[in-house]
Amino acid sequence: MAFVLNPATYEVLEADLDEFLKNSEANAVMLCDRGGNIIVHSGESVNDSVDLISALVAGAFAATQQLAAVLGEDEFTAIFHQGKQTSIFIAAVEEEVLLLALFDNNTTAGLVKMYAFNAINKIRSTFTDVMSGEDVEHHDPTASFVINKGPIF
Amino acid sequence: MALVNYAKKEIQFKIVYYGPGLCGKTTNLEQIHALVPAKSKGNLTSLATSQDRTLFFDFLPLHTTVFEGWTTKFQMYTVPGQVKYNSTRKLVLRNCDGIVFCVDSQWDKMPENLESYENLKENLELQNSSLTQMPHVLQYNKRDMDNIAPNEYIDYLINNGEVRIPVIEASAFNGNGVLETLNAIAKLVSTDFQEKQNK
Repeated sequence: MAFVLNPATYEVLEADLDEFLKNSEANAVMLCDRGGNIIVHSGESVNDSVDLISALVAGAFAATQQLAAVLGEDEFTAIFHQGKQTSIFIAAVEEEVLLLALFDNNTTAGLVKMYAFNAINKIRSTFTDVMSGEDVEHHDPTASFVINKGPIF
Repeated sequence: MALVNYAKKEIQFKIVYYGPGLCGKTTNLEQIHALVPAKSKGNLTSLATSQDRTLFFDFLPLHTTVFEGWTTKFQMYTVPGQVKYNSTRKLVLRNCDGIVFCVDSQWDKMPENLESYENLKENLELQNSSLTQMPHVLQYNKRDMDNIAPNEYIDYLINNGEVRIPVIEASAFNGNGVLETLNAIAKLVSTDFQEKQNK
């Protein structure tokens, strides 16, 4: 099964993230799946480490779920790592998708958290459509997947 | 689960190196990082213990052009091989698109190979997946060592199903067979994706 993002969905998600980035005054905001794949990114490139951040965030979020289980919770819906200069807020959007925000001392955790939950509500409905496959038929019908000849690497 | 972004013309695949402890999974990724041209790779990140044993996973992002007109990203992961880290292995396997199972070819490691292979099947089952649905290859590693079992014996133990799984002999420590393994799994994953998309 593939997770398909068509251009229209991508634009909606990108606009939602841009708005969240602007309102929260974070440095970068991203959507990734729980397997660690980056879906949409808005803001700074964070030392070209977007793929790595996405992989580590998915791992960190999954790891805390064991702790949640010990405490009798289904899962922690959000976690927060505080640094001296940069902090990170991670929240579950739905079963497969995480929202994360990287921010510095120019904003506050409370502000980021508040706008994050607003953004999640918007993004959740978009993803529900994507995951249910309703949108998949509307991707570019002219696109085809032809594998190049020769070794890949 | 491959991620297809039609807006950016980009496809992401997740490939996991699985196998018993000290079979050479991390070494494979280190060699790939050394062998693949700089323009096609990111940094190799290892979440390891102070004794250099993998604690969580190793991660190496690669990017190339497999499909005409599309950027293809391969996110390469290893799992921690030690038996006690099974919860972590389940997490790393999540949404994976292809698996390289590294076999330690030494005679005395055969029980551990078998245990790890069974563990892989169990963990896939927990995700409602299985090796019959998942593109995967076997890498018979450490072929440079003295006390190794013949390929036929490892086939008899592991590669004994109705459909023969592709096998690559390797000595990851010396870099032999590493790129062949990478190309084999990348090709399998891409072909599997292509077949499903073009249906």
